[in-house]
Amino acid sequence: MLRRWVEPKGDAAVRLTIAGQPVTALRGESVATAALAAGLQATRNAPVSGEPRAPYCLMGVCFECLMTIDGLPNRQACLVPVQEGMTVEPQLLRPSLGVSDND
Amino acid sequence: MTDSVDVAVLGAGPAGMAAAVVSANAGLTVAVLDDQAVPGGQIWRNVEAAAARGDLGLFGDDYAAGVDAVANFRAAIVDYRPLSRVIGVESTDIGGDVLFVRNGKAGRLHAKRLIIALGAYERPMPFLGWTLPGVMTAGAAQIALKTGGLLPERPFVLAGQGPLLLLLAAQFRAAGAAPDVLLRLDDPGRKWSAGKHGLRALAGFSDLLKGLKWQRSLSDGVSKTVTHVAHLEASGGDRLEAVRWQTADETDGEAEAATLLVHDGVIPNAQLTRAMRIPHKYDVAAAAWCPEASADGQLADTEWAYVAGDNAGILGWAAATATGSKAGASAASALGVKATTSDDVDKRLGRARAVRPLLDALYPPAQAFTAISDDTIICRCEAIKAGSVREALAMGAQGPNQLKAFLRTGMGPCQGRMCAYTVAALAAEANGTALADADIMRVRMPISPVTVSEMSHLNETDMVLPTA
Repeated sequence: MLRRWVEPKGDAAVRLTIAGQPVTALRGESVATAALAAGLQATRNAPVSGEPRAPYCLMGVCFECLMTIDGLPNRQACLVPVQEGMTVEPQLLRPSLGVSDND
Repeated sequence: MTDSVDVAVLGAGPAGMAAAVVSANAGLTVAVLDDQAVPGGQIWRNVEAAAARGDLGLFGDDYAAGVDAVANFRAAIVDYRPLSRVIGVESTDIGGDVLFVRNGKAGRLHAKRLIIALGAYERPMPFLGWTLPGVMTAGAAQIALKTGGLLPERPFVLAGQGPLLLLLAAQFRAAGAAPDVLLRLDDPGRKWSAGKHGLRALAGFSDLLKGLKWQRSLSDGVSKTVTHVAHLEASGGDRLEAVRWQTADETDGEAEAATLLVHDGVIPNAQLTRAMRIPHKYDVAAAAWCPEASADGQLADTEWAYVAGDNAGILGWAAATATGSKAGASAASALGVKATTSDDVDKRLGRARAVRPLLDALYPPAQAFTAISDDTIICRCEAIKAGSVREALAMGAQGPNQLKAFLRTGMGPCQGRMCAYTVAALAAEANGTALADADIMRVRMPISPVTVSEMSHLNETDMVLPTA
């Protein structure tokens, strides 16, 4: 979808973990663009239909970039600047009430 | 304890920064809340960093104009609070309160006057496959370029229309990433020079020249340009693989695609003013709901709140600096302080207003809402298709507000930001009403999702949000 044109170097480089992979991002960019540059296709699955979704507006309007950032779910990744040492996970499973279909 | 200022400004784009500078320079205490990490809004997104890197040339003169505006804002004595999310507003005896979330904590800020300058966002354009990863707005890709140095992966299809699309195409080209396929959604029958608005628009001559320049080079470096595209469709499994289109004269086409960027103009971000129950009017020419306000931006039915910039109606950044200044001066004068604005405020505003009717006439929304197929998702959050909305309307749903109860349209996390216009249009179509007389769904506070943990930082007496 999007590829890195300017490679983050020196002071401009921020290291974080996205979907279990070490990623180098550009200081000042958002978690959402860092995830796209890292090649992540979907930031979440739609909770209703389960289909994969990715950021659509990157400016806080569409809520398609909801991700789990440092353990806190449903954060708008496009409004969170990258920080050294962050852990970011896509939200790929449908939320549940903790009861499986077999119970 | 509740903190308190004379003027609270929401948004640090061209309008918000201008409003803050004017009222702060008049000696008032001013706080600015913005959801970004740095000032500039969307047009001047990350402009300080771009200037420091020497990358300004890529984005053109309008972007470079942000360097001074941001520097003036930084120099003013303003309590600037970046990374703040506004969740609501309440009127009090004198002025009112802004409720916001910052650093994981909800807070309350009292202000005697409020200036709302939350800008605009791209008009959502539903078509089959627009929810696939790989499809995003052209503005989103521009933000990714300005902040992360990212470019669209090829094959890259750009589909859209309007002045901003011309600018974006020029910026991508300057970065060496011209689209492989350009699908123009505008009707080439509408000519720049023609029509009753042309003569009036001459007052904004330099803007027209700029537009003509962009227009001429629009297809440079593009392998395939298709004009007057009337129907668009994206397909793929878990991600975008192909784009199909049909032109107004029913010629079909298809291209492989890794990225599809779409753009159909911008609409005011009226989420907060709508939640405040300010009356809004559907502006037929602009095809947008705009809050009702006086000439200096004072919102109808309020003593204390103003609207400025594209939040009030789309006029672009130069006009936004003017309306921001005017709102700042007006708020100051209401508080008994004299504020000075630069001499050319009215000239800038007049120029933007002169060009706008021509732009509105040239670029009406690309897609007639009636052309949305039944199997197209219109509410992305709740994955609701146009066919379900039409069915519910046929069963007797009275309009957008009752459709929430029938289907949950507009009740996901985006709170109708993406579907409100489409739902209103589908309802108007079913009821045989003109959009100007149609309802748009009600917005309720908090206008942005809040966690219980964030809310718990408010004092007991601070907890209540408007319920009406």
